[in-house]
Amino acid sequence: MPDPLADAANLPPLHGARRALAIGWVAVVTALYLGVRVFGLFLVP
Amino acid sequence: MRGPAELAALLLAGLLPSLACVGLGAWLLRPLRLRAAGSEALAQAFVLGAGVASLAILGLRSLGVPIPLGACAAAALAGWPALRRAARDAPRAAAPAPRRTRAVDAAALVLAALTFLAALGPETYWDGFEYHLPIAGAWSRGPIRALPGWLDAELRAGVDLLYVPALGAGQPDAAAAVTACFAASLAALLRAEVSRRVSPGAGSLAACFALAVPLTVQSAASTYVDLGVGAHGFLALLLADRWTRSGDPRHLTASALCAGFAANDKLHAAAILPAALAIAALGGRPPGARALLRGAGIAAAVALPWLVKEGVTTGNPFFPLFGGWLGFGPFDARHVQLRALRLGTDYPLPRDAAGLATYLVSLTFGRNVYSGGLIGPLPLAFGVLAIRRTTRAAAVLGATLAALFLAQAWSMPALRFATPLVPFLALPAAVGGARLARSGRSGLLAAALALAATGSLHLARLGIDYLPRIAALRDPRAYERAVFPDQDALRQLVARGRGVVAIPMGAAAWMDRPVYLLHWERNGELFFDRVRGQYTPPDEALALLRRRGVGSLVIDVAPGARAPGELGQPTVDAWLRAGAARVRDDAPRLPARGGREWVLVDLVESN
Repeated sequence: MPDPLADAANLPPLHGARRALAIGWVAVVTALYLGVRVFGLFLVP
Repeated sequence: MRGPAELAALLLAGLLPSLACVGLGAWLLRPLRLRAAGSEALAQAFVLGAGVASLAILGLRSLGVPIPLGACAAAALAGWPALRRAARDAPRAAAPAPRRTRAVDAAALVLAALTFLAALGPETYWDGFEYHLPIAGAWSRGPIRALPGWLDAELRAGVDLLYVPALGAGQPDAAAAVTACFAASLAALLRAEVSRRVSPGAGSLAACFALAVPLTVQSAASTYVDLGVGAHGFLALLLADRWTRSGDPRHLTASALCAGFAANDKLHAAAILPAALAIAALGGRPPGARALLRGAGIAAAVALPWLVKEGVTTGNPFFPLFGGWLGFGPFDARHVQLRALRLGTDYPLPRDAAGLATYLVSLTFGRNVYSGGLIGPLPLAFGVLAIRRTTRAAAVLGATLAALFLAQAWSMPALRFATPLVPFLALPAAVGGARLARSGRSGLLAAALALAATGSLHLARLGIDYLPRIAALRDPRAYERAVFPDQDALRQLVARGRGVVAIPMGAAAWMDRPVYLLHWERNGELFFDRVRGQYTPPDEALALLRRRGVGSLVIDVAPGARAPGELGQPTVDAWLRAGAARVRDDAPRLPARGGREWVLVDLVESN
């Protein structure tokens, strides 16, 4: 069984809804991080 | 103000100990036959050499042998032939790296250089000036010995010993350069690992982020030892994982060596050895009995000098472990137990499933000074995109790291204690990020935007932290005054005290004369203030301080009028009433933190 963590080429690219979901996830996580660090947004201690 | 000659001396005192580590480690690359090239080989040489140099300093300073910078230069030069041979034997790249990758590498080099220069600034990081530098300083002025009232000196100090050459040369500001080199080494090791698993471009980006991520910036310019622990521990675990993937026994040998070095660096890193063993044994390729015995023997041999040192200075080779059977030496068992509890308070939530989940979220989105947001968003944003059914080796590695991480989060939630584990987050982040970047134009754009936004923020933080320190290289005292005006005021009063001066806590390394820290966590023998029902009676406290040579105290008190002969500190007030101490009215009351003020108190000589 190929190990995706040993070689990223073992992971297929994302398409369609999965790609949209991944892009949304990355955007939300990054935006929240910026919100906490730049604007002092309080989510957790 | 430093002139060009003094700046050059500072730079040399920063460079030579680290170059000596590279020189010593270069001789290990060949017998260990670690096939590495370029920056990875240099990083491996530095990390291995730092472990060897630390043990050499432990041995030599125990005998009182000085470690001048000239000896460091000689060790560095002695390693040159081995480095050249390693470069000659190293595997060659199939093709030169693309221009974009080289540009990112250049950026990583600039970040490493900025880190190094910032580390040459004065020590203004709390644990650094409170005990790391003072302990190494005591062992540079005299032989390695028991240091009464310094509990941290007994909890292993392998990285601290690397500060001895700079301190011995009268250049305390150069000591932290070693930490900066550990940061650069971790970045180089990650660059190589990500290059192998993803691509050279991703590896170079990983190196940049490793240097700029808040967790690194928080420690790399200071004498905090966590990046050193991280480098030894990370390499030990990484090499154990490489054994399961390749079956090459030399990786087991090197892993055991690094695990031993990690245990010498800080006590809690002794957990790296069983973790490395679990990865090697359960990953699908169990090593034979002979390989296991060899690894155990190497780790034990590396750890032995510190066991001997602890046996000599505390009577308990495993101090403070097994203290119930083997004793706590000159230290109070209650202090050691309370200290273990105190470490758990760095994250203020209960130890249950909800608290742990919040802690994990906090690593990305939190604002807790010890853990909040310190890993940045990329492990969470990109890492989940790498999740897929995987091999047994990867599963065992992940499970072992998770178990270690849970133990750390439970007992010592400050993230700097997890530095051997955190670099592994870069691997799924790089794999997931590469997957997104390969997922069409929109995926590439999303990955690039996330990297750009995060990178900009990290760089801004790095600039805010590092640039004032680099600008302060010519006038470090002015920088110290600006960062901690209360500690500068404390320094002024300590200079007017008598004998050893007792202070509540703080910048012991800044003080012009010996100080005794009254904070229970540091001294391990005195509860000057009441802590969870523990309190040392005034008579006992006075006798202990006199035994430590204390002639004066500088304590912080609330300003304003109060009854004559009272300062509001119960122990000192009892001494004042009994005539065992007197307030020095000739000394000014200088501002301390929180609107309080420093007061100088002399102990009255007993007849």
